[in-house]
Amino acid sequence: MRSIITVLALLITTLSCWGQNNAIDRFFSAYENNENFTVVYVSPKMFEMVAKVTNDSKNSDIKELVKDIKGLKILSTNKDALKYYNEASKKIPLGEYEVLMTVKDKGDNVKFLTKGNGDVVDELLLLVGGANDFVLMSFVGKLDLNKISKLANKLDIQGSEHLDKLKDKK
Amino acid sequence: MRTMDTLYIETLLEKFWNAETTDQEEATLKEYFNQDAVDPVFEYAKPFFVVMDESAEIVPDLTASVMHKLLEKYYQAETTLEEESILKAYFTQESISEELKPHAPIFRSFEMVAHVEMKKGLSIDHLKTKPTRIISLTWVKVAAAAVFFVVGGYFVMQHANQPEVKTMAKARYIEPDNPEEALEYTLKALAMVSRKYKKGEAQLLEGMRTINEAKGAGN
Repeated sequence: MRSIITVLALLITTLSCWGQNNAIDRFFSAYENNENFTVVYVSPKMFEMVAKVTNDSKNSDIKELVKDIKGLKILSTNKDALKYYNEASKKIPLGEYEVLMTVKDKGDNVKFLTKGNGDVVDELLLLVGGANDFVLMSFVGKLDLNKISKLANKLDIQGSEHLDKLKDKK
Repeated sequence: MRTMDTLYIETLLEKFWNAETTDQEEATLKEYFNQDAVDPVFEYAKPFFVVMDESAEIVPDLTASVMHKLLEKYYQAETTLEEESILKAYFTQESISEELKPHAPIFRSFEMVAHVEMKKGLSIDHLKTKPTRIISLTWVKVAAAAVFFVVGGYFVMQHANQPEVKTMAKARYIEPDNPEEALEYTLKALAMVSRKYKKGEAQLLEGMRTINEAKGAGN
């Protein structure tokens, strides 16, 4: 009898590990089946390696920002962007996520959702949908929103530089 | 003449079995059995007299002849318990003379009955070891339960993971395989976040100014 209890305890432990497949992961997997979508996934393990690389970098701001990110998932499409935006808005469980702000930006609807309290959040969701593109981003890890906003200009440059690089590659 | 001979030999043999023959008579019997034309009726007694011939090359089966005699007595229900046990012992061993083999099952069957009794004894020993088996059965149950949960869990997990497997096949799936590329994607994503965030903050400020202006207009 004791061994049965042990087995059950082990089983429950495994099940609870699954439980971390949260609502947003389920949401992602729902769209991952659609061929119109592009998924970008950076695993926690890859972020460990990224942290090592950025540790040597002179750019301490970026180092600070990236070091606490544990995972990144991006889901995007350029078809029926508005439709998917509305669908996603409905599907995101508002019990788990708090709407930080809603922005209208040149015909794009933008929603920031967070998990956790204060300026440093545990998870950040960015939902963008408009005439052209639908994007859903999920950052997991400690994120300082103030730092992100202050780094906007710098990141813009960095980001576009990298964007150019990626374009050159293709 | 032949029948006379046979009768005479029969009489002599009878006397011989009863240990009443004289040396002379025994010599006659010996002579008779050592010649070729032995009556088949007396064939069984031949080894007794042939063995006495020192020149005989084949060692005759003395036991078989004795058994033959005992068998005769046995079928007439004249054997003593001792004799019967001799018969039993003979027929349960390996080397039985061809001639006597047909009689073997009678004595073997007794032996078989004896074996059945022995098996009963063995089964009692089995009973003694049974409690251990019951304990091991509980372990078998536990093991079966464990296997059930593991296999069940595996299938459930596979089911849960299915969408992601399909992902690779259907949606365009990008997973950077080096830190540099991963960093590029991350920075791109963060840039977008900060751009939108800044825009949102600006809109908030704009909205507040509008409210303030409205307030000012009201005054």
